[in-house]
Amino acid sequence: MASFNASIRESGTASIIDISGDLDAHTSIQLEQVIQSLIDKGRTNIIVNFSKLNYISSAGLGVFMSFIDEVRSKGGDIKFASMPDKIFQIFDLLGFPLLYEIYDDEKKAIDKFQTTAS
Amino acid sequence: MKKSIRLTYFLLLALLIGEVLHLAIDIGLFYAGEARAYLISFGILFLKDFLATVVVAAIYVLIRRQIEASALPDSVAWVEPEVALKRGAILLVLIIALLAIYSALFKPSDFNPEDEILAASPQTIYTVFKSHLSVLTFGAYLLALFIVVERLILFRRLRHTKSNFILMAVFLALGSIATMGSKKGDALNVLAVAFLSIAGLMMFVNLFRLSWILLIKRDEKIRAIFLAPIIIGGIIIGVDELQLADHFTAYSFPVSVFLRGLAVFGVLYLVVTLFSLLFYLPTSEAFERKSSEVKNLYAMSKFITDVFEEEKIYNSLVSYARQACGNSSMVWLDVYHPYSKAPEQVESEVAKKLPNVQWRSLNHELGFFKTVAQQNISLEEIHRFSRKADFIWKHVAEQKSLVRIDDVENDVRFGVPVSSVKRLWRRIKATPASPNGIGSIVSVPLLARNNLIGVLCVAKDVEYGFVKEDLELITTFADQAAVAIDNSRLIRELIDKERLQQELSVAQKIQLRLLPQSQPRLDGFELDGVSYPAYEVGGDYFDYIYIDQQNRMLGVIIADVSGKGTSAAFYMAELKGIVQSLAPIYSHSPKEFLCRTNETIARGLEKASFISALYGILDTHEHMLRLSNAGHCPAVVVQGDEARLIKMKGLALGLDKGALFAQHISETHITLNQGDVVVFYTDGVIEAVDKHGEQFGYERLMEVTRQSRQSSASEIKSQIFHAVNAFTNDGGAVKDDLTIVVLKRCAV
Repeated sequence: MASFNASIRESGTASIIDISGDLDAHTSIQLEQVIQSLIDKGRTNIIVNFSKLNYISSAGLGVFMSFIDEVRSKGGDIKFASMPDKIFQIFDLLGFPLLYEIYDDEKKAIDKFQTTAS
Repeated sequence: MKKSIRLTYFLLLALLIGEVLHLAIDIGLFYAGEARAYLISFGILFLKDFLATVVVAAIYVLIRRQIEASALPDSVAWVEPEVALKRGAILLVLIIALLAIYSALFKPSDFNPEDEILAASPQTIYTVFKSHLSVLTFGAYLLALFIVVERLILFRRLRHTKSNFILMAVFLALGSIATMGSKKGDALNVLAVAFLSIAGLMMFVNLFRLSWILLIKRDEKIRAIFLAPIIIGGIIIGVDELQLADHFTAYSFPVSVFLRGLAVFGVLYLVVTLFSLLFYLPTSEAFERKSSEVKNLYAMSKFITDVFEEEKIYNSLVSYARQACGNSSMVWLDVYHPYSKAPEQVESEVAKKLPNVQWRSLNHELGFFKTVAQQNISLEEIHRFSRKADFIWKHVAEQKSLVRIDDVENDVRFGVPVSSVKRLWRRIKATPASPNGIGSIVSVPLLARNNLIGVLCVAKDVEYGFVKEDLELITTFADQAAVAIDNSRLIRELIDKERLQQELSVAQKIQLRLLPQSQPRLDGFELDGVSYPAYEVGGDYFDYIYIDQQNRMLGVIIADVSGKGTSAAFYMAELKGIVQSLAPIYSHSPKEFLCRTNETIARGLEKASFISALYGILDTHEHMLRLSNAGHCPAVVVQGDEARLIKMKGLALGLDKGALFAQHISETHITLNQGDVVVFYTDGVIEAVDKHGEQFGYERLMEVTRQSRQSSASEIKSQIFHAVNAFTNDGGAVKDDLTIVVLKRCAV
């Protein structure tokens, strides 16, 4: 089983979280901590890059749900980028595209944050 | 047993007969007057000496047997040295008193030095009785002393100890016997002198066997120092002041030689003992400490393997450490509580528990120490000290090594050192220098498998109160306790785990009861379903709901609660309650039903949780299935020999409170012909992987369903399940709960 990893990159006002491996009930705690640390620092413009993610379970999806209200109430957002088809299908099935902005390219998400800011 | 009693009686009889005969001879001699000289020359002295030897020998054996019989079962020495000394002193004082009273009452009871025939003949008949009384009391006492000294000398014997002692006793006895027939004033013959010289030489060899002294306690030694002079003095007074030596001689010359020999040896041995006691006294404390350390260590290690209650280990660790470092030392144990939770949460918990120290360490780890056992110091005092000296705990937690402060007041880690003048002044005023008067302190971490369990603090009111040996001992105690605490925690974890396992199996049984127990019986339709949780309990749910009384309409639902395990199982139970009550009300529209279900359940779900659900209402009269999908896997429908997925838009339950959900959910109606099959399933089927990590996927599911479409609903369900199993066999895995429900319109 591929291990999970989450790392942060900064790009202007946005923070990009690169996630890779399997995001399941166990590894989701790791992602929670990463997102919490960004919120603690006041960086609420969050983009999650899925390009290297292999698997996501419902508990993994729950992580985004648990933070989205807080992030949006602080004027930020969580946007998704570069999702592999397999992952997108799961998001799509549950109706996540209705709740989150999903971009095929990370750049578009960054641009979106910048235009909203200005 | 019988034999030994017989021997005792025989000895008593010998003693009695010998003594009576001897006394009779002495009385006879006293009244014989002028005939004495004639009788003596007749060899009566040999008879007297023989009888006296028998009496003394009988007394010796009797006393020896008595002492041996009263000894403790495993006592090598038969007697406790200090107890023997005490009893000996009391007994001696009593005997001297008895003889002194006798002498005072029956005067004159001594010898007439003017008498020519016997050199010193008894003045009165009382003198004769006194001689006999002396031997029977004082003489017997000397014999007893000899036996006790023998046991002490043989204690922890070396190779030659015993033979040396026997040689001395034998030569003393031989020397005495060689003088048989002598009367008072006679010079010793050559043989006697030779034997007694050897005996005297052997005495010096035996005098210095004192190994028992090392092993008696310090206060026992002090008592012994006071008791030994009493006995020494008593013997000297007895021999000298009461002229008992003369009476011994009057009793029997050889007995007198022997008893005087014993008296000399006894006094010399006691004198040597006295000096040795004085000599060993200063070092005895150190010796005792060492042996108590060993004892404590042994007790501690034994305790640790026996006890699994943490509280008990805490308390005994503190007790042992205090015993080891002096009873006045202040000892306490702080248990370390690391925290990985959010900071605000920890702080409120910390405030509640009143810990010693709390901080955020270098690597953002939060933790605090809490005192669980203390002696000679109050919790309040510990808190006061720890506020000043929190660096100790910080150091222990971060470095996991010992902290030692020799002079609390002058240590730079406490801030500005106090000048010595000021310190002296404070001491004069008797204000405690540091809080609660801690002068020096040692804090040792308790480590088990490199995890910090706690810290053992030992403090003294003086500066420089600890030596290297103390530190080693405290560390040993701490290490042992750490292992014990770790063990007890592991055991408790195991017990907890077992209990959890039991409770989970109960939960599993309950959850199985929440799923349909039998298949619904409907005209023209077959249904069957199965659910396997990935763990003991799961978040998958399927159910059949009888919507009307006539068995015409049937609700079929399949749902998947996000997450796994216990929390999912609770939501699944909640969902069942809602579904069962709402389904009969919204009997015609699955879309309406799911909207209401979402509104109801969204309020009860955690933010991170959601439920995907697929709901169908089957109308058996119209052969119609009305479907609505809330974010669930699309149903597989096989009509004719063609399989397809019924893809529909819709949000999962709980993601949105109402408006967005209602806006996007849709409804589809499917008319089922004879032989048509509909399969509901959860993502456990789709996401099952083989050994290469490839998913089972929709295509395989549709293909299996299509191929088995001719079978019964129950058979199709089994076929799908076996197909998934076969796929994951050999290194693959079903990652999630797995549920399959099959609906089939019978082909008549």
